[in-house]
Amino acid sequence: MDGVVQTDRLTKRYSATITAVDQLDLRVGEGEIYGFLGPNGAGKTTTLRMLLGLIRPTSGAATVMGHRPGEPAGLAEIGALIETPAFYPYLSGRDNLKVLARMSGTPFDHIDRTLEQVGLSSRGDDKFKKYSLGMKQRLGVGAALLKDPAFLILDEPTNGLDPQGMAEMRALIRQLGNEGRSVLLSSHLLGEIEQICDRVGVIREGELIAEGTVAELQQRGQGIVVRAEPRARAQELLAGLPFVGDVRAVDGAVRVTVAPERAAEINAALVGAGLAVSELRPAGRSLEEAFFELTGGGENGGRPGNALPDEGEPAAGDGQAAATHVRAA
Amino acid sequence: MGASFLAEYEKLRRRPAVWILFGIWVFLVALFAYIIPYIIYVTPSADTGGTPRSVLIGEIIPHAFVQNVLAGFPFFGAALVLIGGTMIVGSEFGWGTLGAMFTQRPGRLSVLGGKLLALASMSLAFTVAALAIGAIASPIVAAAQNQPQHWPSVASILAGFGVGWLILTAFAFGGLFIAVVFRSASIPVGLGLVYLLVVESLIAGFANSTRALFLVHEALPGANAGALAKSLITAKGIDAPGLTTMTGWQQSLTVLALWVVGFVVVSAVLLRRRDVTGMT
Repeated sequence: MDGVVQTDRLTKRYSATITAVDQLDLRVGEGEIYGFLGPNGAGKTTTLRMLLGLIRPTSGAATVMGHRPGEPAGLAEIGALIETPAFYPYLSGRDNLKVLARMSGTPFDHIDRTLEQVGLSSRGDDKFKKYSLGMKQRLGVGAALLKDPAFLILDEPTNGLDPQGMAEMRALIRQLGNEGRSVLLSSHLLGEIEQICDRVGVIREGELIAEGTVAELQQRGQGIVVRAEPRARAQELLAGLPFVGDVRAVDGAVRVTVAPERAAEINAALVGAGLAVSELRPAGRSLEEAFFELTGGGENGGRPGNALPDEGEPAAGDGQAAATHVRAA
Repeated sequence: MGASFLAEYEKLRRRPAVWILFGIWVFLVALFAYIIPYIIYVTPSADTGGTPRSVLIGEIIPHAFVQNVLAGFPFFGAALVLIGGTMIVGSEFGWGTLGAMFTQRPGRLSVLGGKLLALASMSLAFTVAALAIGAIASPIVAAAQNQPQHWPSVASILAGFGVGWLILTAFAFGGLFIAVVFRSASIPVGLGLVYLLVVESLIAGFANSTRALFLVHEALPGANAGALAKSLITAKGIDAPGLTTMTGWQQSLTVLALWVVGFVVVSAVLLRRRDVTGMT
């Protein structure tokens, strides 16, 4: 098997009705920064835990750094931060890293270097329980870096960081990629993924539904934006055209999933029907739009901050990505 | 295993709760083995419960120091290390740190091995501390009351040390076992203490009612710990809750050792097989 991560129909089933991860085929290449996207409950963390050997798959197989998940030889090359950073509250940040260094056989001189890398040099001797959320997150990333691993699994590494801290963290992850390390990055922040990742995989209900570079994902379902009056009539007419896929109302215009070279035919159809066309252009999509389209999140619309809706928190119905399906593609 | 042990030892050594348990242990041993008996002995009006004063002083002079401190092991000693045992694993579930430990280089069983060795070390420290209190307090009492400074044989000291360490290790491992089963610290502490201080006492109270209850009682860890400690106590007057007389020290030693093995094996199987969710 090639790649630092290779899964083969990896499945985790908790009961007859609950399948967290379903026949997942995932590949992370060497030196690649791979973005792992999906709504809450999609199976991201379960997948990451399976890759670390914390959760046993129901079926399927995986190799990580050439070893089965959880094997000591593989773990020696992996640094991980899963969900919230977990440390001993009565120990200082430095002593927490010391415990991890002992466990992993890492030289103690890595500790100071790691604290400096994550910006905690001056607070390394403070107790973990006194750390702010952002400092805890930094220490979590530091713990993942401590072993100087060839492969990093980072689950929401910028959680709790201020904007400057987030920018620093993004730069750090990018730098790790430039150093030839492989990174599997799970994040809610689509902008973050867009800026950092070489390739992206989108998971929904345990299944990998799309994979490719950010540009490839953005190009999927390419289309054109039409502004014509009356809009409702234009929407209805476009939905009736045989070569048109999805038709949505977006910000006063209509977004049509169709090959851009058919723009002239669309224009002719609208003008022929007596509609006033004021704009007709190729539709550029953000990763956020592509994500919502892939995961079905568009029905609820996007939300400010370019972030995914949290579990139990319905996304706002307004905003850039607000859209209404007229017809499924 | 060595790396896991050093990491666990570091965590245990720096954990305030462990030092609180240790302080309580030292205080209770000193209080019940020496301070209270001495106060009763030197207070002419004190009610000795029918125990002659010559017997009272015999309990707290050097000759009986091993037996005197050993009497506290099956009761409050066991309870305190049981709390320590539940903490060493249960807290990791609560803090979510177990996943972090499992994703370092050593495997799960190595992590467990490190924890067991750390608990055995903690029990060793508790045992040595209790014997040290006896070794320090008893000659002071003897000197103050013009009693003989006769010391027990080295073999008696070693036997007391070994039995004490085994009892505390067994209950520390028992605490770890309950924490592994319940994947938390608070419930296991409560359940462990209720079992040790209430359930075992109730069963002991009914042990002679039927043959079945007798056999159940003979198989319990607390009863065998009490019997093993009692088998070394020959000085008159030394008694404590938890001490009991059973068939023979060999049987108690075997049963207690089997409990230790059982706690370790079941904990290992559960930790190895179960998914680690919440976290990390």
